[in-house]
Amino acid sequence: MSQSLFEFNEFIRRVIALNLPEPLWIRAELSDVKSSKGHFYLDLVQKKEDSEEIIAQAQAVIWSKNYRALQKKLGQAFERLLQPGMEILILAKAEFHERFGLKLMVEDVDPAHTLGKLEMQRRETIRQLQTLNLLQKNGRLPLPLVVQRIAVLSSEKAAGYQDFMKHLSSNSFGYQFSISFFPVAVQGMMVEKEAISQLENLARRREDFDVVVIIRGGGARLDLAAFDSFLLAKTLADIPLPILTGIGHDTDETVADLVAHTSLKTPTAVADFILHRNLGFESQITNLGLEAKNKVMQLVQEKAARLQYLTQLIDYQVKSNFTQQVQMLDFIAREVPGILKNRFVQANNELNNYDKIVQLLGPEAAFRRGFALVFKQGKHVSEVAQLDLEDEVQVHLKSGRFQALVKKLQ
Amino acid sequence: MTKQKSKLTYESALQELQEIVSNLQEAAISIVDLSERVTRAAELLKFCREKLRETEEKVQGLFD
Repeated sequence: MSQSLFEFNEFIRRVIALNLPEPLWIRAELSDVKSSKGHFYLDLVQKKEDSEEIIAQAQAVIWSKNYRALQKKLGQAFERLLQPGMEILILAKAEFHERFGLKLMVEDVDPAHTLGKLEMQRRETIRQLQTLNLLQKNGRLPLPLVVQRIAVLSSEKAAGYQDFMKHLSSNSFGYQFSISFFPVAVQGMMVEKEAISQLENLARRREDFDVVVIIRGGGARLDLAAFDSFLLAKTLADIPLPILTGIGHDTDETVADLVAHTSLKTPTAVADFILHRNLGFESQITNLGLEAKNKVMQLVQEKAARLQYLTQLIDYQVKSNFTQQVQMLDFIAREVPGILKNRFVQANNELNNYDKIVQLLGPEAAFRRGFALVFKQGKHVSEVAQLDLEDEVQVHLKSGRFQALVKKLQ
Repeated sequence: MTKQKSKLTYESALQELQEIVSNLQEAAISIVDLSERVTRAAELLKFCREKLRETEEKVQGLFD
């Protein structure tokens, strides 16, 4: 009682076909994707929770006809779904082939499931970073007042990188920048590994840079999934230089944005941010210069005004003193003649008095009053006893004199 | 006498005049002395008047 392998496999095929006639929704992680002649071959795995150990594995195929239909239905998101590492939800029918074994024929894909998964992962990553106190770590680093030495992590082919470089180098302020380029993949599986390796490289040269800039052009949510990586976020948080991100996105920020010192919407916005920061510094310097100049001018004006005031004050004082002196001299000139005149009148009166007294007491006055002077031999006789009978005397009167003979003495 | 005259000032002349007046008022003076004193007083008065007029003329117009 034995059967051939083909008979056995044919039996399995029939069992499967009979028991699984309809396609089913299956969740799995993509571990590898290959395409050939428009057909896509997917390796599906399931890992043990919180482990890398694979507990289930299967192969799936998207025939080119289905692929085109799905591409039409889902657009670009479809291609992005089919990346290794993605958690996907597929509608597939199990088919067993006698030679090629079990294959899942993919008829539909639900991108919402993948996005949901990514979002859950993202939240979990953020929670972990929060627990480790890493979300604000880079943000606490001081951003230099002037940003000139820039380490750029990007892909040379990324449109965002070109925008950033162009915007920065053609600035109208004439600012010069020293830019060191660290090429990394900005999409797909290699992002995390390359970015971490380059970040480690530039961290060793931390003294050479003012900031790290991470640039990527615009993209859909799925494209940016790499920037939600926990390991990448952890490495970014530990970089001892402030990180500026310009990871083009429309809605949610990536985890890399959350960890960065400053996250900006686009690469151009990063360039603007740097230019404005430098401009701010220059304005501050210019303002300080102006302020200093104004202060000095104000001081000079104040001192000049003070000098002017003092000059006027001195001038006024001198004039006032002079006026006072002039007034005093005028007064003296007016008063002195009167005083002098009084003095002369007084002196004259005095002299007149003396004159009168001398006139009054002189001999002429005695004559006028009728007295006579008697002389004997030239000598004035004032007593009768000085005379003898028959003495010859001279008698002086007012108008003249005469000789007389003494005839009788009484 | 002439020597003394050359040294004569208004003040000294006035002083001498005052002395003569007080001597005259004492009345115990001889008539000859009296005459001399009165003559001297007249001289002094003349000197003082001249000095006064001279000075007045000098200062006249200085303050106009």
